[in-house]
Amino acid sequence: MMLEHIYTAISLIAQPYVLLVIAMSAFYGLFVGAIPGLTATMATALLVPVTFFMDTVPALAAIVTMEAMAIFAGDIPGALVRIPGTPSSAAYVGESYALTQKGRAGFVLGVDVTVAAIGGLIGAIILILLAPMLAEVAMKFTSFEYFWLACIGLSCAVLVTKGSLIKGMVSLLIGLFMTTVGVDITLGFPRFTFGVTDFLNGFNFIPAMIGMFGVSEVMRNVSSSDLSFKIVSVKTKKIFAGIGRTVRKYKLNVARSGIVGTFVGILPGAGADIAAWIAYALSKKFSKEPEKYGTGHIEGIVDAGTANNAALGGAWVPALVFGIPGASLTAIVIGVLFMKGLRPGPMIFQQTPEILYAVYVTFILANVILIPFGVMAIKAGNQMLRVPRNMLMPAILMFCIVGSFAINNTAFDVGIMLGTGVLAYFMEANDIPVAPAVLGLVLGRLLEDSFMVSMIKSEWDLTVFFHRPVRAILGGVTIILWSSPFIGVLRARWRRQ
Amino acid sequence: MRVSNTAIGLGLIVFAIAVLFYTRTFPTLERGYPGPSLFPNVLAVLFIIAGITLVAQGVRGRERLSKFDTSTITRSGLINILLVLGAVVFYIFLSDFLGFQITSFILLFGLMKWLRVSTRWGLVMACGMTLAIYFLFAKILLVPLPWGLWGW
Repeated sequence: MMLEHIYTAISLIAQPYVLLVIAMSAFYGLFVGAIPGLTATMATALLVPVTFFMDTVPALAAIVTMEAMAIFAGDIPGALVRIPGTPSSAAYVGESYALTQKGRAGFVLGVDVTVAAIGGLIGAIILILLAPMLAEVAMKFTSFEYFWLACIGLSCAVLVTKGSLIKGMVSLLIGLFMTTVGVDITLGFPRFTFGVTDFLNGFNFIPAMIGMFGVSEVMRNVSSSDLSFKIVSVKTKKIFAGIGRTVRKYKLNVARSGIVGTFVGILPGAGADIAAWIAYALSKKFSKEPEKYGTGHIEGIVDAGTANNAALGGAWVPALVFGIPGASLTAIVIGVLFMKGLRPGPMIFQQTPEILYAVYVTFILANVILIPFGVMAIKAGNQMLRVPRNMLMPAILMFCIVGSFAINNTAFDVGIMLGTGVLAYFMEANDIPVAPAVLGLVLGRLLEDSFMVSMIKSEWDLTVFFHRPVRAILGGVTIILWSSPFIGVLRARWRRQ
Repeated sequence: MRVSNTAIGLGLIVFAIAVLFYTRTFPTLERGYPGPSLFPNVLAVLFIIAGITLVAQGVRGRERLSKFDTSTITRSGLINILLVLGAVVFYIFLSDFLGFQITSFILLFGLMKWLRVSTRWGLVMACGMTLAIYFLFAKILLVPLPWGLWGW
């Protein structure tokens, strides 16, 4: 049975068209990842309008490949010019650059690409093993359980944000509020549409994502004075010399960070960037030579570089099993699945297993080809950093506009893109994280609909949310999550006394 | 562009109160159970709580209410941002009239010129990108991009 699915999946992937899509998205991912200021999430948002016109398998294969490449490629400018290409490389740019200054840029990037591929594979294996098991459990869920799951997902998204908890909550509320626009589920009443028919179906998700991650990024880029990078040359002749030994030496670090990274990825709201920070911190804590960290020591890079790619696979677990995104990037993936008429959740595992297996196969394939493609990107690293941003930004803006337009062919969506872009720019400028808003935007409807349906089913008896054991446990977890910040404050106060 | 926590908090409170008032016009379910207004109202109350907390933090931190930190952005940076936004508005309103290719070319060339790309490169890139995007979306993906008066 399973072999049959794997065989079908491989035959779906091994089409010339799909392989071409994979190769092209690999180049795209490497390019976007290697350019500072362009993130993997933005790359996904911009890729969606194109995937909209593809079949499900190539569409998902494009996203999986692109993200694996982009997260690795973020290391390239980190090592060369001390600027992370994507936020996921931020944890160890200092360390990488210190090694570059010792003339070892080629070595750092060689290690980066190797551990990224291994980390990606660990994430993929955990995804493949864990997702079907969780799907079995999820089969028994009803609207009550989904309500609690959505609550847990959203609460995690706020709790893991760096910085102010209140601002994380504000962000989440903004995202949730956006989902209240449009026809409501109980009476079909048009809310906050102000007579605009385009609003009846609510905020269009894809233009909103392109605005939040594309337009706001363009705004941020043009607002800073032109950065010209001081380019370091990389010796790429014997790029893999000494790398096998290094990876073998730190094999336990790789295994630990692969697992840690994947599970951080599974947490809603925490993605590859947080995985890298946590793995780096753990690495230093358990290292035999913690004093070397910060001076150009490869150990921390091995850990963090493994973890951020591992997180990618992890983030797909809750997305596929429950329809709850593990990070902003998989939030967009959920949007894509909906566009393709697939409702993420346990039913996918029964009704369209070939699509799941195609995702698994692509995850393995993408991480295997990460090494040759990655080496190419390392060699072209200097050239990519020379692409002038003052030409790139207008082009990206144009791509955002056409991409937003392409989904429904209306200029209204371009307006949505503009509005959400300005909103996201303002939020980031004021330290209000965007990720919780994105999760709110994806889960808001699920949260409201499952609550209202449950309430009407039970005739407004709130206790049914705790009636069955699974429900009660999920509800309990939610309440613990909600009270955790207060408990933290109380404990701090008690300790002071 | 940074504003004070107090200002953000006050903004949220005002917005939430407006929502609370507006949702009173929403219909209710039978027997008076809350319907379409329940979720927006819960969010509005949470907005108010978050708003009050932000105001309290701002007041405790002795923030100036009118703090409008321009040091995080330069004047030319702000103009660049406004031009980017203007370019999108330009597209929304003029693309149906001018057609995709002309609008896209003007937008790209104009922005590149403003961002100090040389005229020659600007022309090459604006033409190239316009044609590439047109080819990808209109020809391969069959998106009906705006034709405009002249059918471009």
